[in-house]
Amino acid sequence: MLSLYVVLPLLTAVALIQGVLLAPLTILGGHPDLVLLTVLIWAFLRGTAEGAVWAFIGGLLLDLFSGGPLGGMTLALLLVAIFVSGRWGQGLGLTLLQLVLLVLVACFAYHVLLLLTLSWTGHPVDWQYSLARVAAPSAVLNALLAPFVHRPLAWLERKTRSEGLVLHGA
Amino acid sequence: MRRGTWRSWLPLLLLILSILLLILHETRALASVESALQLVIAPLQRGVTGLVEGAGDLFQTVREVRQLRAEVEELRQQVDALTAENVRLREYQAEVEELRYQHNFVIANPTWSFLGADVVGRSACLVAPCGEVIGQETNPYLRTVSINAGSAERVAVGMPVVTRGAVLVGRVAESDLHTSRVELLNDPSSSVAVFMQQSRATGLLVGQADGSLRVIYIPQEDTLQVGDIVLTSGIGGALPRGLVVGQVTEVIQQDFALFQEAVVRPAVDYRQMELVLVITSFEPLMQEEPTAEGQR
Repeated sequence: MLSLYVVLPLLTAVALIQGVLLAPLTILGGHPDLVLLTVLIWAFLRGTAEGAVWAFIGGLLLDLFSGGPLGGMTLALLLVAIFVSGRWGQGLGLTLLQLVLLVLVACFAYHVLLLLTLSWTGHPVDWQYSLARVAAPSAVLNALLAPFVHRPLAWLERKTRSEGLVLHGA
Repeated sequence: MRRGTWRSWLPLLLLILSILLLILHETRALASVESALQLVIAPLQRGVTGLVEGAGDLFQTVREVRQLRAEVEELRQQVDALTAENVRLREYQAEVEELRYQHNFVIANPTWSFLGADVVGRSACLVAPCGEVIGQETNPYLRTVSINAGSAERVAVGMPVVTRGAVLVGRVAESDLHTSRVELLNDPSSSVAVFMQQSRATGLLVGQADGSLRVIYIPQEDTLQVGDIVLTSGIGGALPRGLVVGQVTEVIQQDFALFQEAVVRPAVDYRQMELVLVITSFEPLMQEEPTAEGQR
């Protein structure tokens, strides 16, 4: 059964892996973002409501590990989760190439939203550098990693399909 | 039916909640809640880091043992013991060197007050157990580190943080009960009044989006030299004078510009920091060098 008692520790573990192992990693300027990938793929597999809950929890955890404004990553993650789980994202279907393309677009949008919240909260943002040297490589990197994250999540989705989102622990 | 309605409203509710969080964070209304959450998060991060590094050490040890067994089976145990001892001694040596730098710095500034702390999880270590770095900044556009000293240890926002003797690494940006977040000099929000040791030119050191450091607002008439040491000027009173920041690696001078700029290489690799000192009090510079103050 997939309840919040499962989702919370699962996303906490993913966020810790992100914060401890993956955060220092950069490949040609791109940052692998496991929380983003997990939330995006789950939102795509399970729809808006469950995707939004995962995005909210995952974003909040990332915000707590970050020195940035609380709610900034949460908001960005929520918006892209709603985007991929909505009609636009679902309309793409799900072949491997479509998954990669969807994550590519969503990841870039996530970075733009992240920069907007930083800008809104008074942090100086170098848009040209950030979009070209961080957001774009991150989008490409995460799009390439998406199939590897999709596989275990698709398995989890199949195993828990009948349960849906359960807010109690039973 | 009811479940369907509830599910359709959930994303909107969470969206509103996250915007509310953002607003409450900006108005500092959530400071105590965030501080309380840090009490839970920081040990969790520290624990996972210890686990990960422990696992890494284990894999390395296994690999070494296999090599040794293949080569000289009879000496395996002896080599293992010596290798482990060597690693430990190197750690001790590095720690002693670090502490020696910091001790000399403290002795050289008898009127200042200091507080020793570790870069998030690298312990110092009365409050937290001695460990390794427990976490990094998860936002790719910010450059901060966490240290295991907070308001309970008299750390406050704005206090300068130094390492390896008198090398400034940043200032405290947020202080929770037992942890603080240090905004590094190469964060885009950071700006520090500095001067060059040889040329005596003054300017404002700012962090760049790519993580580099640059001194701006240097008057055109000043003659800059590559290799010049960049020090804090102490102007404004927020920082002590004379803390080392880095070294000039490139001078950018354009005839049509009002000011020239200098690219600066940091004196330490901010990713490799272990122990840091928070300067909790010092004698601020009250006068001198009005130029950079005006530019700031």
